[in-house]
Amino acid sequence: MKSMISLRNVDKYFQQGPERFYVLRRVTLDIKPGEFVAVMGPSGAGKSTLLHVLGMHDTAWSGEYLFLDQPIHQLDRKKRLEIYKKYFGFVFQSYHLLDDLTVAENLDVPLSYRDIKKSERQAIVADILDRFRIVGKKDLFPSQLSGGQQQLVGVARAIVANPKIILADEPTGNLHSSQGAEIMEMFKQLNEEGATIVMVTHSETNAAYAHRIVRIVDGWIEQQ
Amino acid sequence: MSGLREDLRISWRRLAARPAASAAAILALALGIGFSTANYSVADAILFHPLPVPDIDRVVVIGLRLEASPDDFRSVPPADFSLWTSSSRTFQSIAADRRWFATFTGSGEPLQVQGALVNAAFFDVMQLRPALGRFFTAEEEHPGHDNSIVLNYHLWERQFAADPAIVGRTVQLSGRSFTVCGVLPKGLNFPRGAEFLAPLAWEPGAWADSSSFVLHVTARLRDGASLPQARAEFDSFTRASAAQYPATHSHVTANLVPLRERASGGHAAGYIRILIAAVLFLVLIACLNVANLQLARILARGREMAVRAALGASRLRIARQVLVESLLLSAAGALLGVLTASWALDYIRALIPPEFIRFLPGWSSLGLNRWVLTWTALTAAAAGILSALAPVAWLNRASLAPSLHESGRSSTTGTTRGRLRTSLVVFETSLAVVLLIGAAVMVRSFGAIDGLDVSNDPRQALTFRLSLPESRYPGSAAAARFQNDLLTRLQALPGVRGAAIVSNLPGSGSANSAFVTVEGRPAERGPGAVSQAQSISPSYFHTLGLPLVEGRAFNPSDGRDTAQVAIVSQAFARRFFPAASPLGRRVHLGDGNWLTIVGLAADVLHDYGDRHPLPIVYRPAAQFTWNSFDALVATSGDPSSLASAVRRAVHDTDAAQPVYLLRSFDRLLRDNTFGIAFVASILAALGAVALFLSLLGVYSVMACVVAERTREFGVRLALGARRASLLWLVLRSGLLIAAASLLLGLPAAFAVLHLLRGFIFGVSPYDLSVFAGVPAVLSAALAAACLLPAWRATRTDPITALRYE
Repeated sequence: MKSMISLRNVDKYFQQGPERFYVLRRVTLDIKPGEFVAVMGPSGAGKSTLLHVLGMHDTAWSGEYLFLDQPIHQLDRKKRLEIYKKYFGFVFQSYHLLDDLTVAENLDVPLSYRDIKKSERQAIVADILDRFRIVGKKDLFPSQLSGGQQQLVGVARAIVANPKIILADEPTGNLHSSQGAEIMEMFKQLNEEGATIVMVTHSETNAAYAHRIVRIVDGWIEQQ
Repeated sequence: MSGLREDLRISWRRLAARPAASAAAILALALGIGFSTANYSVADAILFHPLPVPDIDRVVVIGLRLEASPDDFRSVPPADFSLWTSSSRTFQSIAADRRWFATFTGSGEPLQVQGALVNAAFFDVMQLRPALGRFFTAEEEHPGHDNSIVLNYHLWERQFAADPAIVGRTVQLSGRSFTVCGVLPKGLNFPRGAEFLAPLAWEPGAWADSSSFVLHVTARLRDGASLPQARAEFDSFTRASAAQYPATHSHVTANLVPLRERASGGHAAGYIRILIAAVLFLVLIACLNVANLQLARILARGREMAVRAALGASRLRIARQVLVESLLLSAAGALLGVLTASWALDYIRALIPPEFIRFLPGWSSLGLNRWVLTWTALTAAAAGILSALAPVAWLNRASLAPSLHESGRSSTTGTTRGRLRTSLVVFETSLAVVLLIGAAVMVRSFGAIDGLDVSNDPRQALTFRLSLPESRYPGSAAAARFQNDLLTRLQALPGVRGAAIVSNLPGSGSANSAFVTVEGRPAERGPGAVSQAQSISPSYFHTLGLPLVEGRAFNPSDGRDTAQVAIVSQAFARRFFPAASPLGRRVHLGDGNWLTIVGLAADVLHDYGDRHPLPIVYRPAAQFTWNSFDALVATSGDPSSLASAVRRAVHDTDAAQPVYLLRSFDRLLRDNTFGIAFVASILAALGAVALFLSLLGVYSVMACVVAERTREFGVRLALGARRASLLWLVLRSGLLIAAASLLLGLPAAFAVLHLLRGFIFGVSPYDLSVFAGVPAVLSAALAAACLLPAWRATRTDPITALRYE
């Protein structure tokens, strides 16, 4: 099967005086559609950086990045954003819900950036609230939710625009194990429904949900 | 559209959630926009819509000037006016007017009223419709038919209680009967100060007079003609006049100025422009202040912005959110600003004495009209956009991705953010430095001119003006008799130390001038040959407290039948007799009457607009009698207590003679400098607001800096730093901002004052006390603004701070 994501010799470094401090070093990686990939490694190894490169939040790197055969490394910011909005969803370890918005409004935010009509957006949000069984919490603000509930909203927000690939940065890192398991079951279900998932994790238990584990140390990907 | 509504809703919620920061931003904008609105209202009334004249930009005021004096603006001789009306192709109608101080009788006490004699073309030039009745016609301009009069709306209201049956009524002016034929439309205070218009009816021969510079001329441009074309045409007219009348017209050229510029007097338009520039500075200062507050908000919301970007928001969309927030703040600022403006306008109205209002065309329309509110809306929109620029620029340049990392530490260093914030506050404070220095110089200028260099205290003198009507005082002998009788009565009043008359008192804003010819030298007609000419009573120098340096004063024996004599000022002596004493020399003032100089008087600055004392020739009032003159009464106590006795003395001399402009000499001096006092007080207020906004800006920046460096302060304390050293650390940052602001602001202030030097009197535009005092005050104020954040820094608890995240 053809790769959905293909990285070739991706380098990322910070200049510190005369020295270059590499965060990613000659990273070459292929991810196929429908795969569930776990990225593991010690703290500071470059896992999150790799995820943000994949998610196009970070564009200060060198090398080649093909997404569905489109050369991301050659595209301008606008075109990258178009691709991102069409295909990607992102889950953060610290949930990063917008404090001033209610649950329903948080779920509406990604849709509002995709030029979807208000009435249509309301229907999608209602559907996702129902699917995640959080209808009763739609008017609450993030500060009124538990950590697990916040992450549930975070996952719901990541998939609300129906992405083809979900990038998750330690999605259970701040949760109790029971809440973590609930989130991981949700990822498993999404993957079974066809979503490609790339998840950064420290947890071997969570990694066990993945089809494949990519290990990264000091910016280098270990031989798979 | 729904996205915009959504942005508005979220922005509103966000601003409401942080009431203190939002209130600070709204307050800054309300002050900036409010003062800008109030001052624009003044500009709108005085400069943009001074008169209800259709197509006012097509109306031009025409005067004469000496070629070497571009700002000179003189009245026009009738011969020139006749040439212009018969030859001009660029103007469709040309009108002449002449001031007339008339005695109004028949309705209680005699009243001195300022009016104007105008020809019927005046109404064509102004293209007006009467509020009541009709205007007089060209047929009524001929002697014998000139008995119609048009009242100014203000006089009609004040003196006739707006009686609609006024048309057809007969009134007495200076002993002549006039029939009221109409009332001017409301708001038309032109010619400036005139409360009625009567026909300018001269015998045909009088229009050939080339030596009496007495007419004021206004004209309306013909369709298709431009002001430069008119100027070129009038240059050719004045060249022809110079050839025809070399004695009076050499080196003289025409000066054509739009009516809008001169409707409120010579310097008014310039002063209004200064105020507009000052309020634009203030708006910019407020914008920078809000930009800084907005930037602090955005920086605090760096992670939110990054999350929005990660959820698919484009930079443009994020920028739109910031812009909507700023516009919402500026809209709230504008609403509050309109209230501020309304209050400021009440204050400004209270500054203007009621008797001044008729000299300020347009003043009656001062208020928050549609033009002014349009300005408010535009200013608010510009302020909203300007204050969003810096945060949006930062968002555009900053990498948001690092904010998404778990540590939440941005790779955009604190130094970069701090530099941007500090730059904004430095720029804001440097603008405040310019405004403060400008305001301080203007206030100093007003202080410097608010007095005369004479030994008698102007607060202990009473002044008034009299204008004896030609009908009752047809010859100068009759007027001279009146003056003598009056002075005798005034000097006999208890509490009076002296009384004198003079054609125009120093500080009165008026004076006659003439070309001086020195015996034995060729006649000159350049600006260097001009001197003021004053007619005075023998008691003048003593009453005013002006020393006589050499020679003798006039005495009662200098009469109509004795040799004609003069006293000259020191400036006159320096100009015309630099190498020797002027005593015994003879001069004439263009009329061929040789005057022998018998005394030398000390200099006195006649008008605050004069940079240096001008040459003055004093002549005995008995030999050169004017029907209109000022009287000066030196008192030993409060001059106002003598007002009724003085009125009685005039009444006893001539019961039909009204007293005009009765006030203390001190008040006369203040009234004459009212324009600069007004500008100085407004600029002082703007300077104070600018200082306040700068302090607010510096305080908010320092408060942010202290909050961001809490952890650093905790580490320093844990390592043994003394709390005083933290205090100094923060204060030093504030002083560095002050130093950088002064470094930028002082040269800018220097340049601005260089441009404004024409409006500054009595002090140097680069006054050392201002250039030293403002930086000292500003530095002290900025240090004070840093004190609270600095104190907070010293209260840092190391244990809490080291857990600070």
